[in-house]
Amino acid sequence: MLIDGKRTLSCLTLLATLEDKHVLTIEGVATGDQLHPLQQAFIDHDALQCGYCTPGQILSGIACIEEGRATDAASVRDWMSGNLCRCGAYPNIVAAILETAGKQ
Amino acid sequence: MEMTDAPSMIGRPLARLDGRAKVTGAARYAAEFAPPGMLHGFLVDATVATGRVAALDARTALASPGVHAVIWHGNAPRLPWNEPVSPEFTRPDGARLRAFADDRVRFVGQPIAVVVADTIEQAHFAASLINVTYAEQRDPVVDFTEASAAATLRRDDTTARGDPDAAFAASDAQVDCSTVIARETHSPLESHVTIAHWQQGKLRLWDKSQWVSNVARVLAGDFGLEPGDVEVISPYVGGAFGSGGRVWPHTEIAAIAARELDRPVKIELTRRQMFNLVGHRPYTEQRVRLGANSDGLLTAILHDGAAETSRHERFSEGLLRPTRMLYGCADVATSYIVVPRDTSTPTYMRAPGEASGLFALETAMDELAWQLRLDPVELRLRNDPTHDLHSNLPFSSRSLAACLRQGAETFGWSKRRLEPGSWIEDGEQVGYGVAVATYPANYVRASARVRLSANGSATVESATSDMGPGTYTSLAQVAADALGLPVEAIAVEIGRSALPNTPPHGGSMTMASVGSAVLAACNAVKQKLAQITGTEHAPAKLVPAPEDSLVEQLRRAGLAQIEADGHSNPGDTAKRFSMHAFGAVFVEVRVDRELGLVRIPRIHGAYGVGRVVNPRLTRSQCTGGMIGGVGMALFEASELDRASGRVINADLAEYLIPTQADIGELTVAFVEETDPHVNPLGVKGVGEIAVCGAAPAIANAVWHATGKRLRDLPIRLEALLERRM
Amino acid sequence: MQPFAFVRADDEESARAALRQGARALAGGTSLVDLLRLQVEQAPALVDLGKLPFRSIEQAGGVLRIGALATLSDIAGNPLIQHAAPSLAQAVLASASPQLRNAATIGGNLLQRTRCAYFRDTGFERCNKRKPGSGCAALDGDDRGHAVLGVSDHCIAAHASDAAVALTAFDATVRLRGTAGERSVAIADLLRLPGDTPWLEHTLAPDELIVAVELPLGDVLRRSAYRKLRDRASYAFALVSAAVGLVIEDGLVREARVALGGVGTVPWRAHAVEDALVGRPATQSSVSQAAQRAADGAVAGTQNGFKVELARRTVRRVLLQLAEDTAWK
Repeated sequence: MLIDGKRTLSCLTLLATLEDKHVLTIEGVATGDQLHPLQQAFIDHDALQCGYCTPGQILSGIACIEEGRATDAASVRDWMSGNLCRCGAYPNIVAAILETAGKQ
Repeated sequence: MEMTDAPSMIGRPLARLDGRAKVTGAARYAAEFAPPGMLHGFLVDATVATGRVAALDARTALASPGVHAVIWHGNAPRLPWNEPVSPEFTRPDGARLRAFADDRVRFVGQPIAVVVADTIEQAHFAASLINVTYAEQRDPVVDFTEASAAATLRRDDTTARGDPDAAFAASDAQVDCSTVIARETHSPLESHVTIAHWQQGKLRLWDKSQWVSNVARVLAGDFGLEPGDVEVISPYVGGAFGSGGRVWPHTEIAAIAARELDRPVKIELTRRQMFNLVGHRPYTEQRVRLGANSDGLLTAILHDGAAETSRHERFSEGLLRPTRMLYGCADVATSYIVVPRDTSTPTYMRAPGEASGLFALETAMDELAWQLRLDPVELRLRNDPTHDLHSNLPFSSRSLAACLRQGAETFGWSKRRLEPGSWIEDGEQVGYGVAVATYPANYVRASARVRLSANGSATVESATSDMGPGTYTSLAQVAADALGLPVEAIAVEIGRSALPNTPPHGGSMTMASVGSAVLAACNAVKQKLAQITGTEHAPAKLVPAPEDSLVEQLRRAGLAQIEADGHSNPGDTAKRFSMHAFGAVFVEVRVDRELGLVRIPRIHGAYGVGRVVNPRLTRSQCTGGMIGGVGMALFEASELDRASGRVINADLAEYLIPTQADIGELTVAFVEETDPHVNPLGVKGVGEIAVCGAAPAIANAVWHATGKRLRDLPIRLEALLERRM
Repeated sequence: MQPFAFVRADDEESARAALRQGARALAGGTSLVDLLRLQVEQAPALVDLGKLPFRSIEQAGGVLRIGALATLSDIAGNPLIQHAAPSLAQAVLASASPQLRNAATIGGNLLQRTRCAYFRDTGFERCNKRKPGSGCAALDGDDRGHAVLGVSDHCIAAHASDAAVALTAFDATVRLRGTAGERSVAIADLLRLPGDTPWLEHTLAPDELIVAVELPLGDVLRRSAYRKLRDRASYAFALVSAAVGLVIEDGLVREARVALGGVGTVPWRAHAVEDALVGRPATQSSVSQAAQRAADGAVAGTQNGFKVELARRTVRRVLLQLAEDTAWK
């Protein structure tokens, strides 16, 4: 999830510490029916298989782009290495993030 | 495929139909269901590996806030534990663990009690307050060599043709290669979870499963119910890779607890529990001896495998299957023993057996190639057989040579020098490695139901699952193609045991089996409609005019909908053909020899897998499998504490799987392959073969880079630091 | 996890009051919450330090002062640190993942507890850190990841921090404030060797807070680097890491700093390497010779012996790279 725009692990965050903070989860990424460009890019590049890590990948990817780290494949790989994917969608995740970053 | 036909839906690289649900968080996994009044169960694990539970003091736990019950063998109901109406063939021989049915401890981590509370935190905390007294403990047997004293021979896997010992002794070239592969754990990112809910004597389960039909049958047997009285729901599966193939005790415990408390109960395993309670790829030790003549023709193959199992179940897998049929060699022997340790039972993990067996065989082949000073691709081409020498059957199709040739071409294999350790770029040693991949084209009985509506939509129903390969999408493509409808008009419903019965969603058999059942159901719908409209004998046009479409016919017949079941029908195909998928995997590694670091900048896989229903999704599955192979080659090992049998590194910070930063360029090619025999769709499945060749190709590339032959997986930096070759 | 009370500290005094009553200090929570969930740690109460004004990073005279609540991301992204203390910037970047670095603080990072599997799993009976006097299961167990320096017969658990290695190399001090007043201690005096009391890991008084880390600026810190070796390319703890600084003038080594991670029960300063370098020519052979001293005094177990040689090679590699970058141009 993003806390005040920064990617953070929900499993290590106590809710009580989040007073007055802005929290974004996958449910809030799209605007109505309009998908966020990275969500659409994940579909287009097949950047998911079982889908279980996908919310984390997308939020982390949004932050990665925001942080200015989505400059090339090597940088994305490094800055997305905290999001494990057991199905192995990694190359397609890189493609989705680079495409989205390139459009901005 | 006929190119003149209507544009086929099969073969199109469509986007995943469930993609939107998955990128928005709308896809609901088993743990996300919450029937009203649901309680949470937390399993109490045995902290010893042997003996029995003499006493369990739950007084403090029961007094802890929110706690409703502590259930263990001392107070658990006695269940009938009947066998299911059709066998759970994912379960190995032996005596399965029956939750709380006795006081025996079989392995560390075995659930010996469950604490049920209002919240997961309360249950977890209360579980820590339980005092267990064990009795009759002995030192567990964990060490593999020590455990080997009690090994049993798997007779079915112990085969011989010709006189391999004599042939080996007489060979011009001989290789004797012993390998070790660490225990691996599936580690899907989603934890295993079951929510059990009883209503009027009927049981509903939300369960992470690759085989909901089986879960319903097994639970019905356990509780003495009719199979129809248990419903299992699992619409999305967050990865499983085999861990969801059989019923594990936590599922039965959730049902026991829910019945005792008359409230829905959810049990979700912790990551640590996932290392003990849902299986693993067994630790294996293998020895492969290869003999060849000076022309590089194999004269003998002897492959001996030894794999761990538990004390209470004898798990075995297809470890030696590839060896028996992969190469043209008249004199072949295989033997297989399973070695019981006081630990939990292994289970199928992606490419079970084949991935491990091929590592040993393909490492030995690489060693043989060097001994003969032959290119490793050439060695394999020279030994490509005309038919399956083990079964004596023709191959339904076999594209290994094409995979090797085309793969080598695409990869740029010709740049490779024969000598190992001779290629340095930018201060790193460079190596190319190749290995062959193969997996059986499994095709079994499966059922599906198709309902065509006059509003122009159709529904496909089948109990199968989609743990990631894209079953939702590919089944829709099959139906759209058969019914002449756009894919968007097809609704696919899977993951419910009440739907038509299917085999496990695994073993690369889903597309072949369930896909063929969907095709059969579509054909049955058409036939039914033709009977109604009396056009049964009308010649079918390749491209029906719009007014002749099935939906139009349905409307004209005044019907709102028409429904039919279909079944895949394997018949005797397997008796007439040897059916396998083949592939060749090419790897480049770069090694920093001084520091022992291995990088894998690229992997290329060429596969002959019959017809590819959806190239986009199939590619994803293949690259995902390669990444699994990278984990097997370089990272994955569930380490056991020798004294206690506990898994030491039972979390994802210490059990290492590949991260994004470990993966370079991955490319996939499918060689043109038409197989008219294998099943009506002509597909072979790719889930398993994608894992198969990667690990040996990586190890072979490391040898080529460094000259150091590493036969134990995972390959870790200290193995490369050693100076001795 | 055990039920606990949650208090938010609005100022230092309320934090100290909570600490005096037995609360555990919660900063980023990346280590503590994990261990609470594993039931390795138990706390009757947590006091959230998040609102305390300890987050700024500033230069004062010749000292870089990093507030204890600065996150690892704050540090990695700070231009002053990137320029004046590359070894530290690289060390924090090599830590964990972006998500964890956004939460983890430098104060918490120094005090993070070991990754020893026998410590982290309450199913193991023996762990002197978890249960004083119970013994050490790692001594006769799986010790591949364990320390070879600073070990005792009671504990061989490695210290897991990357940042602390860089801070140790460059003589950082830690600013502490408690009821008794304010004091500064070197990292080596903050973190205790296991000895025969492995459960005592630091020298903080019960109500003392780390308020800042202070790092003396200078040439050797500016000409520094950090290298971390691990089993995979990212998101893993160090097998061996090295923080190294090197100043060469007229072909002679004027200053050298070397500290190691992954090999010590605390971040390990390799004074022997420094002594072998300073005043001598910065040649490939003298650097290689000096690097041989990296793990002097190491005591290896059954599986972690490779760390000794790996430490030497890592130190040599970083020294040679720094020498190439600075002196030979």
